[in-house]
Amino acid sequence: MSEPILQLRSVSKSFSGIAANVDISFDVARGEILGLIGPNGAGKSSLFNSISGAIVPDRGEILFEGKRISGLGPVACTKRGIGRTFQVVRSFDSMTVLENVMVGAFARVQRARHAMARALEVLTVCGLDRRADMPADALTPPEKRRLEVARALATEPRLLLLDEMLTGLTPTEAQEGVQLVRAVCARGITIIMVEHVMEVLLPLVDRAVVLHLGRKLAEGTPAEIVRNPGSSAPIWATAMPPDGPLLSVRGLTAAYRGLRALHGIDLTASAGEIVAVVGANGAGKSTLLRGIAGQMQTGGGIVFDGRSIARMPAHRINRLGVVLVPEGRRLFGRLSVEDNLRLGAYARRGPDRFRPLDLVFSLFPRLQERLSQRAETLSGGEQQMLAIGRALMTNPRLLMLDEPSQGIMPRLVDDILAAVQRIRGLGVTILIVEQRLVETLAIADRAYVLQTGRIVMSGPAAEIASDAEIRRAYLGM
Amino acid sequence: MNLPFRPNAITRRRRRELLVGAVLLALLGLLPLPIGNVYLRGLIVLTLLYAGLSQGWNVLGGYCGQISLGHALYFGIGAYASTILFTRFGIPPTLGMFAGGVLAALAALLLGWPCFRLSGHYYAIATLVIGLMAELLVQNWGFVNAAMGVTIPFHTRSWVNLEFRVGVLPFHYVMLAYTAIAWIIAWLVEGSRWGFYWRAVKDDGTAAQSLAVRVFPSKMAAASISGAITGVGGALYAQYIGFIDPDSTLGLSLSVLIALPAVVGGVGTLWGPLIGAAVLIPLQQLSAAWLGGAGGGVDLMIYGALIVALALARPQGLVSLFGVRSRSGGEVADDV
Amino acid sequence: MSAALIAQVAIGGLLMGLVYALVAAGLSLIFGLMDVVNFAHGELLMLAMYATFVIHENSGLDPLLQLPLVAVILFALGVAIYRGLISRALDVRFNTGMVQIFVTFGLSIFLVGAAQLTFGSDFRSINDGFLSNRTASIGSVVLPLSQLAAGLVCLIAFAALVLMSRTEFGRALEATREDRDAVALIGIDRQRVFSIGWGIGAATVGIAGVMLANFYYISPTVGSNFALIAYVTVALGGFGSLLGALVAGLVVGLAEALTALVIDPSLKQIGIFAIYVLVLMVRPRGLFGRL
Repeated sequence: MSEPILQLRSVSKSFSGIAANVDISFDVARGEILGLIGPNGAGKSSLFNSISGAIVPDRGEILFEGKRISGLGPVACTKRGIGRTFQVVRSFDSMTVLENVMVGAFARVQRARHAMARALEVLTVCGLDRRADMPADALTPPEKRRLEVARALATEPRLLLLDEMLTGLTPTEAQEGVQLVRAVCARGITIIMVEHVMEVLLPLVDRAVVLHLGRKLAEGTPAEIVRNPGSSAPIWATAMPPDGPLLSVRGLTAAYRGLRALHGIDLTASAGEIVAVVGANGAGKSTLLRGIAGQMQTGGGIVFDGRSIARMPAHRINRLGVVLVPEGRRLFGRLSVEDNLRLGAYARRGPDRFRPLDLVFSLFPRLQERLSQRAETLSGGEQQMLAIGRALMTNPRLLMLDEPSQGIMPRLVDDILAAVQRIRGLGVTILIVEQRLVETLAIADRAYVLQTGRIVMSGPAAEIASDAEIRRAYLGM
Repeated sequence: MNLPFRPNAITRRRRRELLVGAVLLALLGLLPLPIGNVYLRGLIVLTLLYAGLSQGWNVLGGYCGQISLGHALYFGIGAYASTILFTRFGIPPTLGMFAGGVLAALAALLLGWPCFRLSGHYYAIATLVIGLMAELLVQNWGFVNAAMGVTIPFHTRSWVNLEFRVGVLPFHYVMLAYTAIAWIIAWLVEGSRWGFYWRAVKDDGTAAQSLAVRVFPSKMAAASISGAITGVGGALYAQYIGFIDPDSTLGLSLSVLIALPAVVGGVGTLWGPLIGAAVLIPLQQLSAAWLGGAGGGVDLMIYGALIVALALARPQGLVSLFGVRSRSGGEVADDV
Repeated sequence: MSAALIAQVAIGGLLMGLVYALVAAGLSLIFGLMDVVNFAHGELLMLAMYATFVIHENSGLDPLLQLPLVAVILFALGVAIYRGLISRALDVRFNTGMVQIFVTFGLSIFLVGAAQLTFGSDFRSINDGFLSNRTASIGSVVLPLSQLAAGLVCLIAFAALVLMSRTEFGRALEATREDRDAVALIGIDRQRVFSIGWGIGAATVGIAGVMLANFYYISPTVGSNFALIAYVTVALGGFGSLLGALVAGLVVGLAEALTALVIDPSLKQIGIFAIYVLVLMVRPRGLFGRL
């Protein structure tokens, strides 16, 4: 058996206190298709970035074809034969499909004629040759994914990293994607795939590595990997009589980077409710919240407390009491904890604008201990607390949380979710978007399940939690 | 690779451009013949010169994305090099202009080395400051007669020295040839590996890196080509006017005038600098003649307002009126 | 060349340096806030100087007393320029960076032309103000009072800027600078912050202009000279850093004065440019800049 094409030895990487990868080691055999599995925040993207050279691991080594590549940078890694696609498609929008692929081809040839010939060949393999002269931004989402693959293929990689290539596709499109992956593999190229759609992934890969909270959890063939999820968390729901919806969304549509992300969403939240929106990555959950918050253009209707906010600018929506704590938190890193909190009250007037500080400190005592620390030096969990605290300072009526548990230790997640319940107890309506099914449904009153931009199921949280059907569609088991 | 070559939109477009270019060249060649007015002929010569200069600027500023506000430096180097070689060492300008071009290219390389590390605005300011520094130095440099300038004696009437008996007409063809060559160079660059790489980096630097795109070497090449074209233009100008001084060959207003036709016409396009020059230069010359002069100010107001209006109304340039899409990609280049 | 002479020249240079620092601070503020280099910054200075002159001529009001008035006028002008031109330039969908550069450039050319039309190209000056024609002595060093006052006022204005950065609004400015998209999350209207930022940037230049009008000649092209020094100062100190603007301003003022003394007055700017080029090679983002 020949030497493995890729070897990871105790690779570790942290970003401002958050451990993204901890001590990851595994080998990839030449010519195999390896799956990299794990929820959001498990460290998959960081690992991809380390392998492709975009970031340098703090510790550990990465060997490609026997030679060290950690720390070489993306250009050198590509030259050596590692190609990749990106989670969110990064096409060169000012160029045609053919031109996009030619950029990749130029990695190996100098003359435009040769690059053109190679690009055309690759496009044929990827089924895009008929689209060669179309502008890249005019492609459909699945075609854009193929374009990224074609572009990477043109650099003649021996190892190809595919980042969520099948996410957000319809079953038919996903099957076509699988065929493409098999065709690429047939050319002798080793493939590592990151995916969430387990149903499609597990039959495709030869082996898989499971990541969880930065560590390798398991490694082996698909059959060895599948395990019984079994939930031990108590499921309970507080039923609160709805008071007439505070928030009412009708037929909401939105596009993100040219792709249709939401296809007509209907959703309500009544005063004092905790409403959860769950779904796999790429389902459109973030887009939904951002659309309600006014951070992107939407079609359809959004009514908050009797007012239409669909076309209002974001800061005015915020002042009405609709407050978003975004994915990634968006704190002002260079400012202190105290400054971040006080800034939260900036838009308020009156002598008691800083009163919520007491509430924030009682919910999150840690923040009080770290008042003068720069926000960017806090740990992940503390940053999330600060982000929620800052949002509380704006005196929200509807608090929207986008994946608050992402990348945070389970113990802290419990603290945060408990705090969320206390906040609801004070009369704040909560709209929470999550990938963590069990814990989120445990505290929610009602839930919606989002899949590729559509609501596929809705109802009381307890019902949804016990429904084996969605568990299968969601986790593929 | 012996794959059959399939014609596609790129090859069709490139052929079309060559065809249009050839037709345009023929038309421009015939243009001055029916025009007897010397002033108008001179205006056309100047327009052609600026079209070529701006095309040279466009290679660096439009395609590569490094906005230079100090290109007059290269113009000045070309003008002074050729002139000094001619007046002091008797070297004919037909050779001197290449010397000027080479020196300008070297200067561009020297400056590019540190400056390309700077992001968009910083780079613009650096070129601005360096350009003004050059003007200041030359104004005080005795060897080139400082601020008083150098007059080029006109006595040989030989074409080798680019001195013509018949007046303006030969210079029309000299400048036309200059612009045509500048255009061809731009055409070649646009379709080359560099052209693709610059656009890729401007659209998405991270994705470009993942495709092994490295732009620093090509930026240096673009800078030297751009500098060389501008330098040769400077040498030609010197022979045409017969007199050079820091005021007319260096300085910020000249740098802006070199960049403006490309900006107004459409950066990163083949026709932008041509259209821009055709619109701006006659406008600027005529308004300076009628409205300008001592104590005027109205010409500046019109000039300034025009720049603002065009930049806001047509950021893609006047070529967009003809449906031409810029090949310059997204933003001003930031990364190396 | 006596020590007293050198001291005199040096102090004079430092005082001018304070003026440069204030002008640079305005430029740096705007750039740090929204990544726009205001190529019309020098012309704002020029307008402030003309405003001082005109008000003085017509009402006899001493330039010193005009400080708040002209500051307010320039503030309004800054806001108007942002709302009328810059916000449009930022909204443009192609070539945004280039459009910004040329919009402010075109504006500067327009303003010079307008000044030429209104006032002619002759040099003007204010010779009968409170500060004119008086000197102050510190030991054996004799300085024109107007220059001393200019340095002091600019220092005070600079201190005011620093104080402002510590207020709630200053924090909001800092937050907008760090993440202009996230400030909507706390109800901050980005457009409003940008407008006020431009207003403050213009007002600081206005203050410098009023003080300069006491001893510097006034002409339509006076702005371009100061603008150039401002760009160099900001680039030297680092875009977006107030401390950098101060340190760089002092360095530039000193360098200019000493170069004029040691080499040649007509080449005094060479000293500044040389320093700039040096910093460019060694530390492109400037002394205190964060890139």
